[in-house]
Amino acid sequence: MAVDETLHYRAPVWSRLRGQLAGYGFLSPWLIGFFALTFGPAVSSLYLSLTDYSLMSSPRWVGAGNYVQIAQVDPRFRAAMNVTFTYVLLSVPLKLIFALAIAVLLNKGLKGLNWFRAIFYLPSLIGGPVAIAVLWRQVFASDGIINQVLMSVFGYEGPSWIANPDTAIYTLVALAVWQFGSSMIIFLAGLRQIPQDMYEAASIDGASRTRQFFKITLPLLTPVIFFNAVILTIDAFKAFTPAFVISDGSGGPIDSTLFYTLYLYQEAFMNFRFGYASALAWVLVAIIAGFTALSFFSAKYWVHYDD
Amino acid sequence: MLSRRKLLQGTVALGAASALTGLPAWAQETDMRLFWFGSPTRAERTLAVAKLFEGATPGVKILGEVGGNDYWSKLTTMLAGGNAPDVFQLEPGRFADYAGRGAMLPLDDYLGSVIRTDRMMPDVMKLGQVNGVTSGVPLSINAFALLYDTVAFKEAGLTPPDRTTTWDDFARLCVDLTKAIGKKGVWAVGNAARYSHALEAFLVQRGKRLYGEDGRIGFDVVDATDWYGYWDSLAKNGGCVSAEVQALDKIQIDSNPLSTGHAVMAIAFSNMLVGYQALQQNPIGLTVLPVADKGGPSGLFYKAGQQFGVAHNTRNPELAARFLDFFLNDVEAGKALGLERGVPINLDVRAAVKPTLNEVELRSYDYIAAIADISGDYPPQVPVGASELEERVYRTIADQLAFGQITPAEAGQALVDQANAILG
Repeated sequence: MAVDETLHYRAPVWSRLRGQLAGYGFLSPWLIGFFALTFGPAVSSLYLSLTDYSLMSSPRWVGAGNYVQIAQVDPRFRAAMNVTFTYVLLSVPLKLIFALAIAVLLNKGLKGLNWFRAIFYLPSLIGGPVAIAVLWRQVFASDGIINQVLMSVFGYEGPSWIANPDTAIYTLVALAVWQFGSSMIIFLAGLRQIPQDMYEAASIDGASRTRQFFKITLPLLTPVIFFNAVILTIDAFKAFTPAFVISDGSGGPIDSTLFYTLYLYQEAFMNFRFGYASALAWVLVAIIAGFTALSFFSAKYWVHYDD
Repeated sequence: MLSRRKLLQGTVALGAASALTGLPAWAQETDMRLFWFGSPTRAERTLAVAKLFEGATPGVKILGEVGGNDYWSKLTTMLAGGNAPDVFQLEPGRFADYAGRGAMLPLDDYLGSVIRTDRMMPDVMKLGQVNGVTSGVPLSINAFALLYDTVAFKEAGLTPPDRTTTWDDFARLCVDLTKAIGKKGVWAVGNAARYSHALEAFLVQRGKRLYGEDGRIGFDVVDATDWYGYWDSLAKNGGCVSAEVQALDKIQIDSNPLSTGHAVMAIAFSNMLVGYQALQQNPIGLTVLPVADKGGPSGLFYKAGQQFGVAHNTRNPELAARFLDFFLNDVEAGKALGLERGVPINLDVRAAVKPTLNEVELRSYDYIAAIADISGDYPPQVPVGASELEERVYRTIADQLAFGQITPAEAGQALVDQANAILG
């Protein structure tokens, strides 16, 4: 009896193990990728952030030294934080409002909706690459389209938006807002989910269009707004390409477009401070995690879930 | 049919293989990787030399790679990852940053033997030394020069600067020239407060240096304040471009105000004449920089055009050294290269190249010969940390000054403070 039981007991374990092994086998391309290309480098970056490491020499342990320097003495870190927070705090809300407004318009059952949707989505599709940032540089140049329009319509001689340290960051905000397409698509999907009978009931009760928007559309859309806000915030903190291309990697003029990631990149690849740059990266991780946690915490008070 | 077990084994084996294989299968002993940055013309010429070398050295294959904007980060990453190209190009401003960190193989053992130096300009190999160790070889020489649009001067009825022009004369000339041009958005010259090479000439004329032998700056707050004061007043008098124009200059040929049509002169390097001329309709002239005192030091000296370094961990140092020798000393190689990186440092090659030059190249060539009597000593090697100064100190301070955020005195103090902080 006892022998039989063990046999019975062992067989399924082995076959279950075999099944699992096969599963892991199929997962292995992803697993290898994750451990070799994401997790491994992340761990070593955490270690490097506690060292002084310049290219060829082996890392020298400095403990929390890099973090102390970031917190206490680095003026460029502060400049980069300023630029990045300006960028995040302006571009995220503006992009949300813009994407929502366009989505609401498109949701009205416009003729040729698909056509418009594609057009509005286009900047997001082509927006990542360098070509768009180069285009942007032309648009906002001293003799670019913006200034030509200002000149001919208002007779106002605009500054060279990108070359001027007071305005350069706003051209990058505008570039980000222009790429509202993916948020818009998500909003559109969200709008479609709102049951029509609610609007019918509201209009029977005599609620105006505006009132319907604020009392029905917006509350029911809060989960989507929340989702978009979190994604956009994380993306904005990580923004790199536009500033890199527009300022040619310098973050100029006068550090006015020195995005956090650009500063990190400069420290690592131009100034050979890999340890310090790793520490900067982990500070960014902490900032993004903090912001995301804050969003999730605040969600309790304003995000309306139907269920 | 494939059983599940077979498939599993296969997947695992494949994964292990991709994880463990360090060397690509095609890398044979006689392959040599060569990495550089620059224009398509440079690529063409450099690859032509690679072909010639392959012809002269059977069994060797040179794999050329051209870098763009990402050249330095790519090079740094490859060096840190232990898979650096065997031979790579460097520029003088960053040379010590790589040499001082041990990126390059010391070449002293090969100098004079594998890399022949008997027909080279005297002492020119000093341009590849850091702390007495030969970490690379200069590929050419060039010198500071003032480039100007000859037609603009003719139309204005003004004489271009020459050896007797002082900085004060130059300031007056710039204001007059700007007025004579009389076009909105066009000035005489760019705001050179940003350019460390212009500052260097200014300092050498005063008996100072940009960088001293000790790896620190070779000037003080007074020098720096005078420098910034000069350009600040020139900008205020309307002799050089506005802050917004200057801020867009990435310190490359195509972004210089001369090339963007905002100026008719540029303080640059002699070998860049060809590049500047390619972007201009009018003939571009080449002359010396203004001086501090008439008859005083010119502030000019021969600089390395670019340098080649050999990776510290190259598998075939001998072959790399032979390639450098070929690149510098072979007459046919020299002809293929022309003046693209500057004037050849081997005197035989230099003589052989001359008949192949076109009219524009000849102007650049003759300039190097013409300043022989007023060129000073080679400067001390640019120190470790200089590239950081180039990246974010010279430009930023000059821009703050140009946009009126700081005064010349504050700019001078800031330059000295920040340079000391970085160079230690």
